[in-house]
Amino acid sequence: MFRLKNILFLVLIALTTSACEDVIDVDLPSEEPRLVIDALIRIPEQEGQEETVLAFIKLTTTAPFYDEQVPIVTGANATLNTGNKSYDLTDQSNGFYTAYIPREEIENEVFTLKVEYNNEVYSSTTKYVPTVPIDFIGQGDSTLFSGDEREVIVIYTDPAESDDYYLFDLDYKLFLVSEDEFYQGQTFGFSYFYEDLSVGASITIDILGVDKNFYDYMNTVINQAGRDTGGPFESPPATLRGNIVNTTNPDNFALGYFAIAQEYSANIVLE
Amino acid sequence: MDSSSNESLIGVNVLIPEIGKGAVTNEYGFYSITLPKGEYDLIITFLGFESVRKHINLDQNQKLNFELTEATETLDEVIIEDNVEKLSIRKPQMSINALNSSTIKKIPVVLGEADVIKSILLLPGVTSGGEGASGFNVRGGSVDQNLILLDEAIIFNSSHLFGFFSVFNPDAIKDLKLYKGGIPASYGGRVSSVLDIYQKEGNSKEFHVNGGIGAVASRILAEGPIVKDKSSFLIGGRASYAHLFLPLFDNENKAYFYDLNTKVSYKLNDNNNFYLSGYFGRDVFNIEDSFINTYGNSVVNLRWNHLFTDKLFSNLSLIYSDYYYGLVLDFVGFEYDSGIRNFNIKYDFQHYLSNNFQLNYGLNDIYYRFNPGYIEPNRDDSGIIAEQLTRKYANEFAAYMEAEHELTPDLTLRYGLRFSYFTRLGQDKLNLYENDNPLLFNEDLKVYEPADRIATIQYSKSSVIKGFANLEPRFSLSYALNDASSFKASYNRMAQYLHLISNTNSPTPLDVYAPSGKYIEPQLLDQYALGYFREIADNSYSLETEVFYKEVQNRLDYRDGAQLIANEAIEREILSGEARSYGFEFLLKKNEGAFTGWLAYTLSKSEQRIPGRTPSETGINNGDWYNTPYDKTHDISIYANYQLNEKWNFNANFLFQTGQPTNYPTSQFQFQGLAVPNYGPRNQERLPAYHRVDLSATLTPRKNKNRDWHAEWVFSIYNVYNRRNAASINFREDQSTGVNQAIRTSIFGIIPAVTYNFKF
Repeated sequence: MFRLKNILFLVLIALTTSACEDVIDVDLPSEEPRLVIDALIRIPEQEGQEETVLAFIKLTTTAPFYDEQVPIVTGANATLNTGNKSYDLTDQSNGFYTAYIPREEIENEVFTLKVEYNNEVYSSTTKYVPTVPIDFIGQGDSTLFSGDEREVIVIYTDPAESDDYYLFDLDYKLFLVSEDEFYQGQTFGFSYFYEDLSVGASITIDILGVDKNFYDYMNTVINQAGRDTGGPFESPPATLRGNIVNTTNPDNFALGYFAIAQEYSANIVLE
Repeated sequence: MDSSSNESLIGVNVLIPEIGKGAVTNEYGFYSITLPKGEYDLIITFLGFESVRKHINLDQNQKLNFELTEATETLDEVIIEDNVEKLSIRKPQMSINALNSSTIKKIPVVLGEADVIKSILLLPGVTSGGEGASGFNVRGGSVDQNLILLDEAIIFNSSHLFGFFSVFNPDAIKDLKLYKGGIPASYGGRVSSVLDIYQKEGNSKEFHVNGGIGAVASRILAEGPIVKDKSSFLIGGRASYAHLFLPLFDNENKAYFYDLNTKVSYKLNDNNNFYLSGYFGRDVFNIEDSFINTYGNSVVNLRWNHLFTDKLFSNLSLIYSDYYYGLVLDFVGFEYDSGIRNFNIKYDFQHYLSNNFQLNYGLNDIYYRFNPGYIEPNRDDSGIIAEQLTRKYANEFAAYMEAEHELTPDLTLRYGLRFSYFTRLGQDKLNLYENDNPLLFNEDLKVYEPADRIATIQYSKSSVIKGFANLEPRFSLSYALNDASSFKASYNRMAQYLHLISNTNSPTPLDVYAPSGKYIEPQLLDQYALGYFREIADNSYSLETEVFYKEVQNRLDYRDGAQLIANEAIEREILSGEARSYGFEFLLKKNEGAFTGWLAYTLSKSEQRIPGRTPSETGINNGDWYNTPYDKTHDISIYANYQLNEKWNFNANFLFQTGQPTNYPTSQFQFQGLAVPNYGPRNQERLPAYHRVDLSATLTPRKNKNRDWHAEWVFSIYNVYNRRNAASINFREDQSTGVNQAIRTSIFGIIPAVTYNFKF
């Protein structure tokens, strides 16, 4: 299911010609910075791929909402652990921590991520989630609301039987989640309407396998980032707890999520 | 009844001054007085109508029907009898506000369209989520806690165009009453308020047409006799202009609404009246045929008024009502139909046993069929598989009895009991969970997570999955200090078995009603109210002040990140807690003279609490009390009407409401390149205060006087000082600059409008 409510809201905005959006100054409450662990590890499927994959995570902290950047975290210790092996992630001093891990292990083992930062240990466990390739990517000529969007059609085939969840990285910081509840085992297509893109723009669309919990998390993240919604129909936002636990001091929890996702990509240049 | 139309009049006072007795007509214009034999003078008074005096010689039971003539609108001829409202001082009913259609039509509203819901927002204790929010909130209650009745039929969605208009055509409406507290035992099923709206019966004397041409919508209503003085019809329609809202785009977009009100009334004889009424309304949005959304109510209602004796009035109603919501999303290849259907039978009796004792009793049974959604592919190449989400069935039975008992001339009591019994009937697939717990608490992450369904179970449609029985006592009293002032007190308990599941601050047509059942308990309200009422200077002014306190058990809120739309397992997304609200209401009215109007002020608090189910769970907001989205500390409304002369009438209103509770981000974080605002506990901040002034002027040309065609022009300005009231504030990254911003969405700035109304 796609986010019907978001679409409804667009209708409302389109309806009210006198509706108006303007940027205002609002004094905001503040809180102590928290560690943020962006550990969505993408495992790309491509021609002639290597036997090992580069896994990386990014560590930052929260910042006041109006700050232009969030501080990166260096000097933390991060490891990825299976039942009997441990991989140290190398601090690249730019917030990224990286390691090469055999593809076969990634696909089959349960991994625990441990991050040690400011003498506290953060931990989370996950398992690789496979997905399906994109069957087709193409350009359509429909528009939606403003009349100058670009329609891109994406088609994929959902595996029969299993309940599957998908995360689409649509490029340009646009994301979409979908579940197969109403298209179980079908070849399914949807259209996405890009605004503000012109002829010649290149779009790479990634499909990622996610589990139900990460699907819910990303749904809230997308919603809360306000990329495609806002206004009277918005769900009141919340504290975004991911799946990472501070084992030293549970109240000082970290934000972010640890997930390992198979990823297929497809590219299109707008005509 | 009204002498020009035979329309029965509600709330007319029938007084016998010699003995200080009297009666008030009910919703069907019926009254009953019991007196010893003798000669009496009767005075019949009704606001806006000429009073009638009649001398009667009472030597046997008599049926007296009176025709009242509307007071002509010339100022110095307006007669308002001293004792018009005296009876209400002694009546135990409190927390009630009534508006008739002429007042509603005078209140200036956006785009010049008179509107029922917008009018009641000017009353104390009533607020809304602002522009673009449908429905209304009463005494800190939510929108779905209002019982909205149109000719006794339940209306599930009261809004057109996402709340910009209400579904009631003001031309077709005779009278409305809003009960905020001390709710009589004849009403049940919602815990916050009752908005009881009666449509006109139709003129059984003469054929008349009235209508209006406005900036957004036009309406027309015709009424007249079928057989003179015996039967009448009324048919009224309203439609907005199709492309009106989307003129900026040159593509094929449409957004419009229409509705149709019909009624046939038949007076068989003095003891039997029949009414058949219908309502049909739809909203349609069509964006390039890739998004089509249709929704609305339809209601058919047959009623029979019967007088068993001169003292026993009865009304039997058979009501069918249907709320439909449909959606086509062509870009996903998907069609969706959902709705609620109900069959409602009601039998109500009003038994005037003596002048000091009246008994109201009745039965009610409602059968509900909920269709959460039927999903099907809308074209051949769609990957969507047709699927019926599990239909749900329920029955709500109620029986009540209530006495209105005048103990002494100064002390009147009303006491009653309503028994309600709700049964959740069998359905195809009922979800089962381990330990019957659909929502798990993750101790490590301190978050709630949906449990896995372990199985589903099928019940036959006649079996009972779960039943709830509730006794709902109601009690009110009035103690008159003198002829002009009284104290009133009331207590009411009410049960609500349907829950609107919405994770937004204002409901949308897509929100689903979930019936109570295995996983959801009914909401139970206890409300206490105390009031002081006073007429000043022979009722030139009246003052109403009240304090109230109410508590609701089993109030639901959703977990963080809940997914509510087309969700077959809503029980996995919600937590149950309690709500409470309390406040002070003040209403000062000026009832007479060229200048009339009111000042309403409400000071109140509305909050809720969702504690954890076990000591280790956090609940919502750590189990602490937090503001509901409809907590408005201060609510001020001023309505003023000035009749300058025969030609010009001026109106103004002012509204001020404390900003709605909302959430501001406490920080931001980055995930996958997205700048994501992060929030603290719910509803800790507020939007800026909401306020605005509206003005309108009605011009009635003098040439109207001696001809059949009556016309008037209504000029209105909404939001005169162009206040940018925030409907919401959103926090997001600017897509081109990457800078985080606070963005205010405001819906209506200043809006001038002209409407032309006519009548012949």
